[in-house]
Amino acid sequence: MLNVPEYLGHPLIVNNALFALSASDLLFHWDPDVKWTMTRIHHPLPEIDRDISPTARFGGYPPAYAENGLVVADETTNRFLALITGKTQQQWHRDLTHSLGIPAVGGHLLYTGFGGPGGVSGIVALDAQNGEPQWKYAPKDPEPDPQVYQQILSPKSVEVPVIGQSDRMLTDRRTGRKIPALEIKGYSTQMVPVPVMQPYSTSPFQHWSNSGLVVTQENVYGEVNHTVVALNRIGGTLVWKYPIGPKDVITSIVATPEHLVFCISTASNGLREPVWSVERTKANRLVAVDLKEGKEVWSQAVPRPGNLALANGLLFFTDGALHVLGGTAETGDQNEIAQAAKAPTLGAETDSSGRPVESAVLSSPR
Amino acid sequence: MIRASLGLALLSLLTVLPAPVRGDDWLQFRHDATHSAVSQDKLHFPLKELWTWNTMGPNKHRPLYHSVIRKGWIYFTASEKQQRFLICANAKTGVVKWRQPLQAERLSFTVSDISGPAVTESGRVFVYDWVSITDKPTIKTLTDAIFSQAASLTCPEVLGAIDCFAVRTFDAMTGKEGSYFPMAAMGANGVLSRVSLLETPFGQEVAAVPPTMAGCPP
Repeated sequence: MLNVPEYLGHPLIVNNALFALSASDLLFHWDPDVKWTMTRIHHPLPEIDRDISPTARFGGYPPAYAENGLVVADETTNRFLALITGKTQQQWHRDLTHSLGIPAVGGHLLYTGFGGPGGVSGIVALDAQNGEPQWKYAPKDPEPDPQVYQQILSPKSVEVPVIGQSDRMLTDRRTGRKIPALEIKGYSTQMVPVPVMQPYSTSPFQHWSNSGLVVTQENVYGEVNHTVVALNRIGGTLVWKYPIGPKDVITSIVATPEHLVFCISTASNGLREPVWSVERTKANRLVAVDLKEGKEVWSQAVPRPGNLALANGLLFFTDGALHVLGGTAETGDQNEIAQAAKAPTLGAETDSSGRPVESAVLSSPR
Repeated sequence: MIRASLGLALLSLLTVLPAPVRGDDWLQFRHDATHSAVSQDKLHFPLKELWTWNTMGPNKHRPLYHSVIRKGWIYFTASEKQQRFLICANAKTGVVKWRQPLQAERLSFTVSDISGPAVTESGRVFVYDWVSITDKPTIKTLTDAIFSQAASLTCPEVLGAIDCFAVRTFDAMTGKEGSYFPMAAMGANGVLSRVSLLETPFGQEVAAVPPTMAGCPP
């Protein structure tokens, strides 16, 4: 039995291809029926043998598409943010000292939250073409996020001689017997574990609990230091801000052409956690504010924190379950909607086209 | 026979359901490849809940944290008893169009587990799963790739099965399964070439370094 322990994070679709970063250091690309590539991305520590310098830890960081490349980041070990433009090409990379949120791109600018739990201490804009910072909004300039050094065993490939008997004979001085001499017959590659120190964030993978950014033509919207802010997209100046409580966190934020919609969760323990691991909260609510001025226009309590999506004039809220919300114009035929309660049974009977995966066409590994 | 008839009846019911109205799609995590998280469709407040889908697998497993929408159809994964499914339903009503069973009820890496499906504009749905590959031609294809990456090593074991994380695909409209990609294609223990992001006196460079690991399958 071969078991390949490799997992991917959020998929990114570019045209017909899927890209994803793994839990470890893998960048995966698959265009079904066309090609696939897998590359491990490495950011070696300075002054350490490049072969054994610890590998990256993406933690399933969600890559974004910019300038014909992919924005990738390791915010946990030897931290970096990079634009990868080919299997073995980078356009740029920058060393980091902070945690990161989920990246977003607008025009030539790359935006990301950074610093502290959830990467929400500030928002920075970088030129996506060269990685140069363009502006930063961080009311309390955050200290670098702490790291500790831990020893890991890093594999190093070494050529080990293979020893065998030669045709040449030697004489044992004590016994006078003839014995064959030994010689190097060849070399084999072996992996030798080498102890090496790896920096590791005390609070790794803060993008897991980041709410993401919203990028419109004019502004960037996101959570910074217990506020939801609207920042001018080009210059980073503050347009408006919407304060939330000291124990409140934003779990997801999305927008329509007129409104910003987000989920506010009040953590019982005051700690920020990914939505999937939150066990107890004091209160959770969905809020919509006017996009131009940040004035609240609607609010509704929900049982748990979750993520948001928007389409067809409907709001999709996933908190371990799926809740679909719409206005009166989208309510539609109540008889039709009533069928939804029976949906699982209905769906099970319509499953007639599936094939067991063992017989599926293995099209890519050629 | 009864089951087949019921299936046909329900299939015919599905064919008369109205096609959802087309709006701006939400095809992937954060809406699009740039993660703008902006839909061109407006919301009309106040909102009220139209329908819900509750899901609960073993040990209170609730992996439903993302959904995507294309042409009025919503795609998401949900557990039911011991099984996880990829589900396509009418976004407005929740009426199921099709659903496909997945092999793994839970994926060990939580981000993989809660990452919803993603769908292309052309209508291919990608979803994460865990597969057990037992057919010999596929295993041979994979093991040839694996051992070609470690040519100097000999692996006496004959593999009877390969278990691995996989990306599966389905047709968005019909639910028909397409090709899938097993991560075992990368090789034993993940043997792959690496690229290093380097700082040099002359600027940033990318350089190849030896694979992270190599060896016989455990």
